[in-house]
Amino acid sequence: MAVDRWDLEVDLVAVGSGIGGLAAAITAHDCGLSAVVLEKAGLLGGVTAYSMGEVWIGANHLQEEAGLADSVEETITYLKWLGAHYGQEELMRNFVETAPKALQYFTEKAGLRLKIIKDFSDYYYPTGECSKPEGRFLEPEPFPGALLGEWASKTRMSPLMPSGITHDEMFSWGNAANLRGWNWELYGQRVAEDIRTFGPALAAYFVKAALNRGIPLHLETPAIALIRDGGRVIGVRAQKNGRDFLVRARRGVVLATGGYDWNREMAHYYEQLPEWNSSCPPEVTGDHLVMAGEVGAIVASVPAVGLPAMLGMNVPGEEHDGVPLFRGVITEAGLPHAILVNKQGHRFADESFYRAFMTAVRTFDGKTQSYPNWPCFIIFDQNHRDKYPFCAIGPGKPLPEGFAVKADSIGELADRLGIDREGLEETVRRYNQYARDGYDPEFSRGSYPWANTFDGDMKVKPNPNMAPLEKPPFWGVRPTITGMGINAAGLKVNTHSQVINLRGEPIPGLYAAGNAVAFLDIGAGYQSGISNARGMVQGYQAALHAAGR
Amino acid sequence: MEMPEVRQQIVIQAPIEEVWTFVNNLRNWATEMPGYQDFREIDADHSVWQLKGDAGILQKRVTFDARVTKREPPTRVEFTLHGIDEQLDGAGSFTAAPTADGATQVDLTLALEAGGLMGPVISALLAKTLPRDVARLAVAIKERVEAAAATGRTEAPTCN
Repeated sequence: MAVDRWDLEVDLVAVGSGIGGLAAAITAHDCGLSAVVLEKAGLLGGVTAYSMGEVWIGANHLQEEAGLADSVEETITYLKWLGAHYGQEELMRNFVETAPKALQYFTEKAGLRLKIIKDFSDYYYPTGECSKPEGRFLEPEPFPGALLGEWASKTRMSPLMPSGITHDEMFSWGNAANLRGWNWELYGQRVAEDIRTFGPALAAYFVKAALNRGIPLHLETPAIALIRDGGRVIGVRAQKNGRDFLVRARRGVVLATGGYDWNREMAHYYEQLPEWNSSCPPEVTGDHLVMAGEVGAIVASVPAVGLPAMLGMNVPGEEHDGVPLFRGVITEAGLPHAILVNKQGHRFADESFYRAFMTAVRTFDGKTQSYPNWPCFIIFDQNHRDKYPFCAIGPGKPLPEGFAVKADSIGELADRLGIDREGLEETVRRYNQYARDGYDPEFSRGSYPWANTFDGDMKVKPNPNMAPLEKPPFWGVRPTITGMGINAAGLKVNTHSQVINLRGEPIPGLYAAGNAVAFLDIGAGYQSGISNARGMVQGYQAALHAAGR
Repeated sequence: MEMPEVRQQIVIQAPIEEVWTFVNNLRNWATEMPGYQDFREIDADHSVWQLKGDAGILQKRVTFDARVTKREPPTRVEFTLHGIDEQLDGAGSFTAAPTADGATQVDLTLALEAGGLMGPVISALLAKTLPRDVARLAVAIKERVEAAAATGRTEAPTCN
């Protein structure tokens, strides 16, 4: 495309205003380059702001300050194990080695304030090789929204996360298992004062750093296509106020548009699941794959089984940005007094560990050409309703009409849900005995400390993730599968975040960061907080490379 | 935490009688509320409103039972709102006074408070969005009344 006149000329164009795009723009600025951020939505922050705000980095300086032992080699060993040895070692090593440096950089230069989440272990501690009980999971310190000035209302909050309180506070109050024990007055006061935590805080730190540098942030400016001169990407054709907005990128374009959750066709091709919905903002439509595909980029993927699609549900009437709001149903089945079953009424995985039940949901039986564990059903009793939230519906609060099926007995519930009656009755009988024993010989439910902390009830002994289903009425719901913006397929990049073409060569002038990038560096596994860490690292190193550093 | 009440004053370029004709019908309030989804009239003083909340973690349609508690034509209407499916309670009022130049000075108030476990948080979120919503409501009422005054029609069109 020949361009007669550019609307804007800069050195680096970041497409997307999540952590990846903002990290790239900030770093570029600090390297003496001019940068701009183009955001498709009317709000800054992208999926980062919707996230839990966790940043997972091994061998980080906060661990060192806290006297928690870790090393690059141990982190790599854990990631190799986590990724089932599917991750590409060069990319993995680059991520692990660069992440602590990027963290230190944004801490010292950009005002980022993260802290270690107390007693929050790696997902697979202690089973995973070189897993750690604490130190790699970081979260943002509370961020006062007032620091964003007029941009406070233009920076995303999350309808999914309890922004206002920290992980440490939430866990110390008993997490989801003890909502009645939360300090709601403090939480309300923080909200009133616009004190942000979780993903909204993480996004806000990076927005603030960009604002401090005077980096232009263009909202409602979707990038449509890349502009090339010969083989080099030299700019972006975006749209602004209903017309083309041509932005020249003298050093590079960084695609940090997130995944493709709301592009049904891409999700169908790449996730290979029987259903698909998303918790993401609706602007997450795989634009990176379209734009980069047009200039020859290869789309790569890791086994979809490794990445975190969740069970999720839409509470009738809940919407965001004009689309139904799907909340992840991650803790509900793992709390005591609940199980997850298939149509035969059989449990099929450890309900306290979403990684376990989501991989089991994907199981495909070639003999019957069907998914034996799909659809699945969460079965729970009145004790669960009395004590715990369900899909953010508070304990004891009536479930909305059409949301759940209710019955006076397990058998009747099975009939109403279309589940095998005898199968469910036998499963509940057996599970209840396991719960009384505190030990699940079938699926080792509650065996990971992470699961105890995240979706257990620490008041329940001996196993915080297990208690019988015995108090009628009994309830059942049929969740759907819900993406979190962390997808199986994405762009392939090298250790400088340069996008790779079908011939295995970097496309000059084109970079990618965050969830737009295939998880080749990790492989067939996931650990919460990696997505945000990758965005920060890949944006950082893209800008360094574009600056010739 | 006190019930967050928001007040908005506007001048409508129309005689007080025409303003009254508009605001006397609660349907006109409901349909101009930000997030309006549905309105069902039980009787002149009692109606059911469905509004879509846009306040942080409260991103859902909420159904309110709305009742007029006071009418003093042509200067004052008071009403209450009670959440049917959410623990939300509120109250609103309209006060009008003619100005010397034939226009009408209008004073709108709206308050909403959340109860239950999450009440302090929802109330804090509402306190952020309510001023915006009441400001939009005031502008919408002003525009509707002034447009209707220009055409001689102050009743809202209805769909049956």
